[in-house]
Amino acid sequence: MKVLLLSRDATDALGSEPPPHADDVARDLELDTLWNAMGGGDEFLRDVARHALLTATATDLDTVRYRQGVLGDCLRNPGDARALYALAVTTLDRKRRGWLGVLSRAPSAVVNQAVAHLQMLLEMLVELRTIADRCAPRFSSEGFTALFERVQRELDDAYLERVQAQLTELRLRRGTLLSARLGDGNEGVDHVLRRDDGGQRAWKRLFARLGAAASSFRLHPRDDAGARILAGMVNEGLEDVANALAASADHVQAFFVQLRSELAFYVGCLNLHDTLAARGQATCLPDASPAGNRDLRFTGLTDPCLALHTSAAVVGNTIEADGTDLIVVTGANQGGKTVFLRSLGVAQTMMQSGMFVAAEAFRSDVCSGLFTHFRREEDPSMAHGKLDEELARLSALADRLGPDAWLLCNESFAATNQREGSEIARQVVSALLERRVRMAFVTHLTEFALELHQRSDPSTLFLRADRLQDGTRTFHLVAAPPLETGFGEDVYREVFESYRSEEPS
Amino acid sequence: MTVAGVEPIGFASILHPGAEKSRETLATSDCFRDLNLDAIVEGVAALRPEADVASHFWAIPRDLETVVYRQDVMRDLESDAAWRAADTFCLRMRDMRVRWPRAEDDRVRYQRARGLLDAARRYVEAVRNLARDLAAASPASAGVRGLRAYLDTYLGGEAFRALEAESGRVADELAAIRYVVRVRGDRVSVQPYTDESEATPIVERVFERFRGAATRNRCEKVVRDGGMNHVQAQIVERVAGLHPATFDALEAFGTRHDGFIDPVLERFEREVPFCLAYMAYLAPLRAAGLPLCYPDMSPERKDVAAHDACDLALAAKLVGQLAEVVLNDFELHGAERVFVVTGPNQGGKTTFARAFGQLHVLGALGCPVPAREARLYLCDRVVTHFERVEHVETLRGKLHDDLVRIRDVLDAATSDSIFVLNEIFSSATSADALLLGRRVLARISELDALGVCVTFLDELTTFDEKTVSLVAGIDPADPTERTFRLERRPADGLAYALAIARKHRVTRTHLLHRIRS
Repeated sequence: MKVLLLSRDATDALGSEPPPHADDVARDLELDTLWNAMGGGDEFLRDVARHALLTATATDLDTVRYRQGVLGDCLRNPGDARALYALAVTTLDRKRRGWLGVLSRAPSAVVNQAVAHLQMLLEMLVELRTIADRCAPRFSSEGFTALFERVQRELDDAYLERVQAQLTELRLRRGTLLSARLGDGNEGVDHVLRRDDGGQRAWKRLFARLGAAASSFRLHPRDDAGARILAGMVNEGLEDVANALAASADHVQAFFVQLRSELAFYVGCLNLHDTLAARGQATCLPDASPAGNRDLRFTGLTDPCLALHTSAAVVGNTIEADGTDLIVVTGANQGGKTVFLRSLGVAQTMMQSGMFVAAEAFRSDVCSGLFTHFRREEDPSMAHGKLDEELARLSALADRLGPDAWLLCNESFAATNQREGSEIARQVVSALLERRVRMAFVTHLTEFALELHQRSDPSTLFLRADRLQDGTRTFHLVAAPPLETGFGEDVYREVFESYRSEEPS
Repeated sequence: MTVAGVEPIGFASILHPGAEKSRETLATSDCFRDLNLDAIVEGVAALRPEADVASHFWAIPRDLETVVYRQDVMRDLESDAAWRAADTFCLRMRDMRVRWPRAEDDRVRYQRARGLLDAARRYVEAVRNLARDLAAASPASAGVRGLRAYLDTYLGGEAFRALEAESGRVADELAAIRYVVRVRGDRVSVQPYTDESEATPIVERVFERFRGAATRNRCEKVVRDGGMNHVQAQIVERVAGLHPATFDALEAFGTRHDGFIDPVLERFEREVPFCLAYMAYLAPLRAAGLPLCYPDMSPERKDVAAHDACDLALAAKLVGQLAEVVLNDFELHGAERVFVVTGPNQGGKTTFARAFGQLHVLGALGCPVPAREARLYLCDRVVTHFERVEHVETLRGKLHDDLVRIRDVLDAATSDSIFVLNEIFSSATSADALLLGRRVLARISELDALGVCVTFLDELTTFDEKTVSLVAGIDPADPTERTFRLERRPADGLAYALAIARKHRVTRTHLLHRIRS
């Protein structure tokens, strides 16, 4: 029986490994803030959230929409979703508490443990059926509807009774019935547990017993060695069934493990949703479109990580960038450029993991991979020069970039002078564009930005972090070309020109 | 079960032609240690720990007939089919012996008879398969063909046929028995089998719908204490009660067939592991491309020669480490009898001396030797004298010790012996060493015996017309690189030392330049 809440057909939707660059992305986008909020103090929830976000771009559009449906159900019925999750958690807790440290590997002990384990699991399956019966009418997503249907069909009353009967029989209250053959040295071999359906064959056996009255014997009460031999024989006969029972218990248990993992993602979403809502932060289920569409438009997009950090209202950006391959962001320092870059990356990641995003509206096509190339302020582990390090990181990414990937660059190539940095940026950007990689590039490389602007390529969008006349920062980005010079230049010129003018000629 | 006079053919042993034991010399432990034969014996014996393989190394045949008989047998066993036939036979015989009843089996009814039955079944299979597999291998040697002929007659004999037929019948009947045991607390009942259904498939069916990836088996494997016990004995008694006729037949079998192992086959089982283990020891060397051959052994000709020979123990070690094995040639003509080896340390001198000795011992054993081709002398013994580091108290004491050992070596040797002398008198003064070395060479020359003498004394290389000088080679391009090849040429004197000195710029010229006046 499968859970299939994260994907229509993949049973290990969380099984894929994060790509090698995932750690860099997480660091640059500060995703751990997001995971912490989703975890709400629960390590497991946090881990699942982390994994889902790090592997987000491996999810196809169909699956994104599938998860959005399931998430929609959860957002509408948060109590039921959490109750279902609690059931899975309780099941695993009971298993942990009940069997801690007393595991024996002798077959008879394994049979006992497995029967007790299955008995507990049976109770939880009954509970699951009850929840499914109750919730089925209220849930409408494909994922939940199918799951509840499976539960109702496969865990019908007849089946649950059959399991109970089987477990009762395997308590072996009436002794152990083993078939055997004589092997070398007249030793009994091939001991196999037989089903003791006493009723049907009782007359047969009674008949046989009358024929051989001396066919049974009793061990002496103090015959410990004999008792051990007998136990060994029984163990041999129970080995197969013990392994089968233990495997069955594991398989049923695995269903609950899977249920917990998959629901953990949605419970994490509920946690984050609650937190953001409490801060008055807007969220929406994004409109995801097929890769290569070059859709990008949003209203009030914010960086949820920033919203989680500050109590002040966070300013959202509203942009229409459909059809763009390259977004170049210039402008004043601390004007919200990096925050914008992050909000874009985080939204894309959340969307592709099937989550809501922190915006009033968001539409984008799914990308084949999301990469970041942020300038590292200080890297204590850095053994070589800064530009060297930067280019080494870029080189590592280059092997994994491909068409329809997103690359977010934050002040890349600023480690060298303007001319060299611009030249590198020019070469990198033109090559990547040709390979159909989408980019958002925050840069102070004026020469590079101006040159791009002069090309007036319609697929390039220029955004600028602006200041008001009085120097107040708005944190708003507006569509605007790069300014001729930065403000630093102004100051510089100001100081030096005034200095020069004072110089006696 | 063979009775004198009924023996079909003269076959008695795979290692000795004829029923008589061949003439042998017992090897000395010094010789085996000095020549590193110990390592070979150990390595070969380790491949057959269950058989006494080592003892066959110590008994070295003295007559050419035995050597040739063995070489032919070994050649046959080089074929995979024949090797496997013999190997499988040994394996099955060992399995048979595990089943053979022990004294304590008499205490439990049916037990001794059952042990004999189990052993008989394995014996019959072992012998039948050996005959079949050997026939398929189409052997050419007198030894293996003799064994084949022997087996044919044996298999056709009344005794074997009866053993085979009766053991088969009784075993089949026993195997067909099935029964059911019910265990409830300390109560055990034995009942006839009435097709009750197995529990495991039912469990698997019930939980089928949850089936996922296969899990590791939870149970530890139940390990049975082999052998009969009183609980099982009581069960068997009751099973016998359910099947009286079968168990009567079992007891009857036990009385009729009590000692069925043929002594000639038993001897084969004891002797063939020597050949099998030696072949197995060579297998990785052969695979690594090491040349191996059956030497042309002669009890008369002393103009021995070998092409691409090496120290087998060292080769085994080097092949294990994937290192290259250096091969050497040697050849004596006419009156030449003794190789005197000089050259740089670690240049392969001792290895050469060992290889020379090993080839002669292994060749006499009838074994293939590590060389592309070889013409060797079938000697009466290989006597060795290698320098011993242990027990050195005073130089005088050591020289005395050396001389006592040399005297023993010379006393033991005959003109049919082979000497291997390594670095004798190396701790004595040059004058003493030269004097004593000459004495020893004179004695060997007098015996007209074959030998190798490794020494640091160049003078010994031109002792007389029987001496041949071999020099451990160095790479002319880099004098610190040794080639480990021995070349037949006059001793170098100081050439090597000067080359090393140049390399380290400590020649006179260098030093005059380097040290400021």
